[in-house]
Amino acid sequence: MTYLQELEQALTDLPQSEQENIIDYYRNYFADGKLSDTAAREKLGEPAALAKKLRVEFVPDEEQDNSATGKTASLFRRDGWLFWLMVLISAPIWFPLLITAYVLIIILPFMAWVVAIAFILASAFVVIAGAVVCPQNLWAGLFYIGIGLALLGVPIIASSYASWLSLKASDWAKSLTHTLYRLIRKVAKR
Amino acid sequence: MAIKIPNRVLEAVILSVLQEEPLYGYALTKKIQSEVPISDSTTYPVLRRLEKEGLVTTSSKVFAERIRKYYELTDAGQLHLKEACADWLTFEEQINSFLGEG
Repeated sequence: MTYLQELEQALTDLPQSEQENIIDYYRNYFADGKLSDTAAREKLGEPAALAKKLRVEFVPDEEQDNSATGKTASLFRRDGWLFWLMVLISAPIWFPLLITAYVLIIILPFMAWVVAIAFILASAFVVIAGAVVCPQNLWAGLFYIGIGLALLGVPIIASSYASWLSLKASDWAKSLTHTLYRLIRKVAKR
Repeated sequence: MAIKIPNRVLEAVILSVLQEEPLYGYALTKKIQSEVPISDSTTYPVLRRLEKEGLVTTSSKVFAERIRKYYELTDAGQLHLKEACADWLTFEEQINSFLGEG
C-alpha cells in the first residue's frame, strides 16, 4: 500500500470532508516536494503516526476551545449560540438595569441642583416670613429669619456637591461605556 | 535543547508569510523551514485551524494536471496578524528582560 492509502485508512474515523482535505493536501505535498514513499515516511513519520497527530490537532468545532483558561469548553462558551440565547432571554433584566445606571448617572447632578434650588427658595420664603413677623413679634421674626438663613447652608453645600457630581457624572458615563465596549469586544472576539 | 515554536507563534508566522503572497502547502512549509526548524507534518493542522477560524481562505489553481490549493490571508487574518505581532513584541520584551543581552 502506498503512504497515502495507509494514511487514508488511518483517518476513517474523521468526517469525510476532513479526510478528503487531508489526503488532498498531502497528495499535492508529495507531488510538489517530489517525495517518494520512503522519503515521505522519513519526513512525515509513519502514516499511522501522522494520522494520530492530525487527529489530536483536529477537534470537532463544537468541542474546540480557544479560551485563555484552557478549560474544556461547554455549550456555554462565550462564542456559543447558547450564550447569546441566554443574553437575549435575560435582556428584560440587564437592559433596564443598564438604562437605569445611565439615567442615574445623568440625573444625580440634576437632583442635587434641584435640592439646592428648593432650599434657596425655602430659605427665601422663611426669611421673608420672618421679616413680616418682626414688627408684630420681634423675637419670633428673628427666629424665622435665623431658620431661613440656616436653610441657606443646605444649598451652599448641595451646589458644591452638585457641581462635583456634574463633573464626575460625565466621567462615570464614559467609563461605564468603555467597560461595556471592552466587554463586548472580548465576547465578540473569537 | 532547542525551543519548539509555540502554536500561536507558528500561526502568526504562517499569516505573515501569506501576507506577502498566497502559497500552497509545500511552498509555505519550505519557506518557514528556511528559518525555523519545523517538521513537515506541522503546517497542515495549523493551516486547517486558520482556515476554520476564517483567517485564511483557499483557492484552487490547476498545475501540471492536478489542482493545487493556495492559501491566502483574509481581512480577519490581516487583523489577527497585526495583533499577533503586537503580542509577540510584548512577549519578546518580557523574555528579553531575563534572557536578553546584558
